[in-house]
Amino acid sequence: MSGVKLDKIVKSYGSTMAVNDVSLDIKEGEFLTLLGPSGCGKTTTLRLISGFIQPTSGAIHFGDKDVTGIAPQHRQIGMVFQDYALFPHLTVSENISFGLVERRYEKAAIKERVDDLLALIKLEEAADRYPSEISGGQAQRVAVARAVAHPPSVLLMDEPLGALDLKLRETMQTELRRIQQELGITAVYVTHDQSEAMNMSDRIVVMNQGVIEQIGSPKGIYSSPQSVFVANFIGQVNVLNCNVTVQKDNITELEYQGQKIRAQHDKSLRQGTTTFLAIRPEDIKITPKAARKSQNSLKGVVSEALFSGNVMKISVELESGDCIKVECPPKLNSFEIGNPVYVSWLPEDCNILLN
Amino acid sequence: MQTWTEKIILFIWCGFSYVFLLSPMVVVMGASLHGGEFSAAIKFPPDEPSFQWYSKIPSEQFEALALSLLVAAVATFIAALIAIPAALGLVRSNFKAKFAITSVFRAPLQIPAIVSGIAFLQLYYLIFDTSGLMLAGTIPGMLLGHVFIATPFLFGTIVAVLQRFDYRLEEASYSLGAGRWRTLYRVTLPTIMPGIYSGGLYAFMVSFADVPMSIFLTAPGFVTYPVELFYAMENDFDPSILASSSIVIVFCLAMLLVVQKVVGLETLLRSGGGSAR
Repeated sequence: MSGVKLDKIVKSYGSTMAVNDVSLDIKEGEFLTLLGPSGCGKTTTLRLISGFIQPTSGAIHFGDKDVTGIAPQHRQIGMVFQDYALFPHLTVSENISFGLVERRYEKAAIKERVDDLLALIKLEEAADRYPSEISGGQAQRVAVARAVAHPPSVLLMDEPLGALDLKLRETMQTELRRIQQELGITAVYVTHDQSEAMNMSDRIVVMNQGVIEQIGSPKGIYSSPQSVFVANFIGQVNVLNCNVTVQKDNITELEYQGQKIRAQHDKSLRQGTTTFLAIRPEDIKITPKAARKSQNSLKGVVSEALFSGNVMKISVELESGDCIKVECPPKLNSFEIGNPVYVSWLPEDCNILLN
Repeated sequence: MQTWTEKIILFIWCGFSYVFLLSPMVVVMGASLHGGEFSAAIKFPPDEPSFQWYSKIPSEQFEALALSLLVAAVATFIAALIAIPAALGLVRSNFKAKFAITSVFRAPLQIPAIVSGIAFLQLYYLIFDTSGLMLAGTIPGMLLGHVFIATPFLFGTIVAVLQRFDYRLEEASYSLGAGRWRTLYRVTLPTIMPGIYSGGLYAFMVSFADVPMSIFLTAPGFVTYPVELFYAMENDFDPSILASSSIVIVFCLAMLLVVQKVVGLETLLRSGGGSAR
């Protein structure tokens, strides 16, 4: 087991850059998620770490060892695939012991390890079944057990829960996280599902068009996204196009369509710069009258009100024509389409995005 | 749900197909039990059933049967040695001559066997003229021809299985520390095995039953079984031919049962591959 370090990795196919200058330092025992839309380079990055493809330039280290150019079978990796890729001609326990046989474990040691792993994934009773005879969730757990049987330097997972239904996916997220923690293994996880990334990761790497947009903890990425892309990709967000008017200390005054907006943050911005202001729907209050001075307040008309169980999703059309999405508990809401309202939020609840 | 009419129509149609396919065999096997005097006409059902003609099968037919089984088995084995690497290489590579080479491997299917037979005989005469080595009427000469007609059947089925092969199985194997050869041995070959079995079965049958090509490659005292039967039918027909055919039919059924027990015919027909789902 060890950390993984990517140093200025570039992978190009002809003139397209699949991965463009990615540097990453994955700590030992960390659960790191590569998150992004399809084609963002996350799977390519994972395949570079696994060694199935080689970088055009840059270096990859496992711990102190430079593994660039080394074939996957000599890298000590564990790999979990989206469609499990269990060997159909082998039973569950034969699948799990596959890597142990390749690594020349003693027969007794193999049996002991397989029994331990079957207990870990709670599938003792399925040991002699074939992959075609077990369910998707079970197959996924077998795939994980197979990947970690011979403790790998790093466990690589490529959208491993993509083929499962929603309920099972949530159970498996907890399950995968538990297995990873129990074994203390370094894990790199690829997904396009932001809630999955939030639930499981120590850190999330948001990727777009072959480059890293932002690295941070799930909380950090959600509460302070640094770019419009990240803000939009992680959860719902309202983005307003503003101009910086005054900046003093950590409060910036901005102008949006002739109205003053105050934002609290620690970036330094030049006066007159055009920026984007991001506000989460759940941070916005909706009231019939203008809010107190300390808050930002904009006037609008309710244009849509959707009841979806635990929340009420309301769209407010501002005088500028922009739409603001608001989420609030259903009890508080008595607004109907066409009602004139004010939307308000605290200066510390908005984020200034640089691009 | 099927309605009753649909069920009845299906039943009649299937019944008709079975009768159509099986009746020739039933007639041959029944007529082989002919118990009366020699007659040149097939009698079905037999008058006084007896196994008398079974003891009158000429020994040449058994020798020919042994030769045919040997040739078919060895030809299938050699064809597999050619077809497996060829299919693995061609399905996975991408180069200009790929389609040309693929069609070369399929070509024997498009050439009438009788033409292949003449071509092989011509080739053997040519070799004889230049080197003094006569291949016609020898086991290597016969094998060469049979490998030629049997290979496409193995090649075709293996290509079909490989095209549905999930390459992530191999990646999984590499990630677990297995090298290329180990992966071929532990993952790739076992996964395409059903394709190899079914292709091998076809190849064996094609070789075993071939008359049009083999007839050119035989020599006195060196005749394959179907060719021997063909000569016998032409020259001196008697019910012992029916008896010997019946033995082969029973033998083939027994073989199928063994295959069914060992690999399972469903796997042959499915020619599976790919992952769990």
